[in-house]
Amino acid sequence: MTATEVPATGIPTTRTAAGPAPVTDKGGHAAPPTSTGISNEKLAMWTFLGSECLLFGALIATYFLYRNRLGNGAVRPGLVYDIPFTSVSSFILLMSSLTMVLALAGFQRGDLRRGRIWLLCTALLGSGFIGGQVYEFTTFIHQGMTIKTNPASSAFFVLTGFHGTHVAIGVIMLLTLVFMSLKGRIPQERSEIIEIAGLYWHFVDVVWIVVFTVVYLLPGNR
Amino acid sequence: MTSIRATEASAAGEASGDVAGVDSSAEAGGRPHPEGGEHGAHPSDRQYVVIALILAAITAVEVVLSYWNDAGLSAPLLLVGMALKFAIVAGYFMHLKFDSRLLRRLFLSGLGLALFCYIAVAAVFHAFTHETKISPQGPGPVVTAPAQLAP
Repeated sequence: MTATEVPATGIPTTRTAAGPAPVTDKGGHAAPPTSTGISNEKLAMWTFLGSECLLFGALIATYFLYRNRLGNGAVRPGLVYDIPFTSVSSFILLMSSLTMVLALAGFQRGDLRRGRIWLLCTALLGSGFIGGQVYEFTTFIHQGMTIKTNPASSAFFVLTGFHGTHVAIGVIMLLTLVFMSLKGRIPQERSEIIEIAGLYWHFVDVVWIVVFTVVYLLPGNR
Repeated sequence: MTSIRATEASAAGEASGDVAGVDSSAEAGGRPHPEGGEHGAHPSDRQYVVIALILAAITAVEVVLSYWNDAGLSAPLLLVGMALKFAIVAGYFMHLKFDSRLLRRLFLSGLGLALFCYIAVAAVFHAFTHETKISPQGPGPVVTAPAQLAP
């Protein structure tokens, strides 16, 4: 004999004749009805992010391997870097993580309007970062460093280009969420969608934290 | 940082399931985790702003360090700054500090595997020195001196 209760959290828990079923976590509070106590979507996103560590790890390791392979007198990536400009780009991406958590907080509180505004700010900051990267790539190409110049430049463009693509996908994801929210398809109870998109966005930020330091700032690169 | 820790302390009180108190707890310094449970409360909006300012400050220090000529000292400091920023974003913005331990283990195992695997590969190819002993592009000269910019 079982009965399903819907507490104030909105997440159903199951009670049996013998007492509460193990649909609660260690703290004894309502949790998603999965064996892990975590929703499948969130678990899937974390698993995906764990695998993304391997992808970006491979790209960063490749950059380390090729950074001194310059061919015959070609341009070294470190000589064309514009550190102040890239620092501003990094700051923009870092701040987009702040606006992302503020958006999530808004949705979780039920302040959907504010949540949407922060989501839009995040998308704009992300677009600003992509714009900066496009400008940076264009400048490098004008200075004679293209993806085909030497193995070092190839590794640089592939690594930063892959990251930029991830940011672009994130911006599309965020704009889709804003649109869905405007259509009323993301109420407070479904704020986990924002959380999952936020995880992806923060991961992209975390990857840039590593790329910015190991590719641009470390002394051996310049 | 002390105020952030205080949010964890308030988690026990929030675990009573007082959903109506979300906003008031936000004012007090933290929001209850939407899944409830053993994990702590999320930071408040103000605390998020403070965390972002800390991240910005670390970035500024890193940029200054990158112009420092003493590579022997600046490189480790830059790596420490990077690790610190990584931990702050993953812990507070991605809520790893407050979420289930399972998620933390999942992410850290991917990260640990990547670090171990690629540091080993890079070390085998002497990527941390200026000379790459085994050429990834086959035999040929290794250029170690900075090349001139193209006109």
